[in-house]
Amino acid sequence: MNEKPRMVLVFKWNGTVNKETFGFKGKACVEQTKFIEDALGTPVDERKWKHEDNNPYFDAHNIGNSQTA
Amino acid sequence: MSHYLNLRTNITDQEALVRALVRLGGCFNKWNKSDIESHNAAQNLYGYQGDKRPQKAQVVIRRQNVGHAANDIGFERQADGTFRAHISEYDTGRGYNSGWLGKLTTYYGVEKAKIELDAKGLKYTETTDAKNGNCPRLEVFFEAPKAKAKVSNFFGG
Repeated sequence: MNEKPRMVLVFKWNGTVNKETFGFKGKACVEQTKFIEDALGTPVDERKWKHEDNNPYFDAHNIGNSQTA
Repeated sequence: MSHYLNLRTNITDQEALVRALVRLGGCFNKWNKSDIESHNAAQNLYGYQGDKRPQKAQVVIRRQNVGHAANDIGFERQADGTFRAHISEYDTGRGYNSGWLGKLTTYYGVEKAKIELDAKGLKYTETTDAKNGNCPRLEVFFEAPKAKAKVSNFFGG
């Protein structure tokens, strides 16, 4: 699957920001998207991986994604 | 004479703060960019009777734009680079409260992200997220990495 790299930022009303990335290979994800964490604030949760094919088993064991606040 | 409450916000970029204030607007009216003062040096705030207050701020919304019988609202840059909000107790009770500041923080995040994305020349679309109370959502698109060129083996057998 050759998905074009993209990042989704959800700015919740409680002031936290959810950041989710898709289609990046290897270190490119952190290298190309960390600037937005640096600009917005400090991560409030550990960086976690989420299966790109929406695997429910994988998701069930990896609740949450990296957040900035 | 009303008192000021100091509410610490997590906001550091002055331009993004001004954009967020324009986007959110006041509790009683919309704000244009011309309604919001943005200074390098902190300016005094004034109370509803025109009395000069000891509080100062770099970003100021004058009382006539805040509401009837209101006091100036200001955002003052702190030593650590963040802005602190100066909002009178009277105006806090009229809607400029933690809920209003929370929305401001949300819009600040969106505007700050847009500034950073524009600086990097990245394309994005803004929508709302229905799963989270229609809060703002940005989808950012990156260039796909170019495939490595195939190397022909001229000397192969």
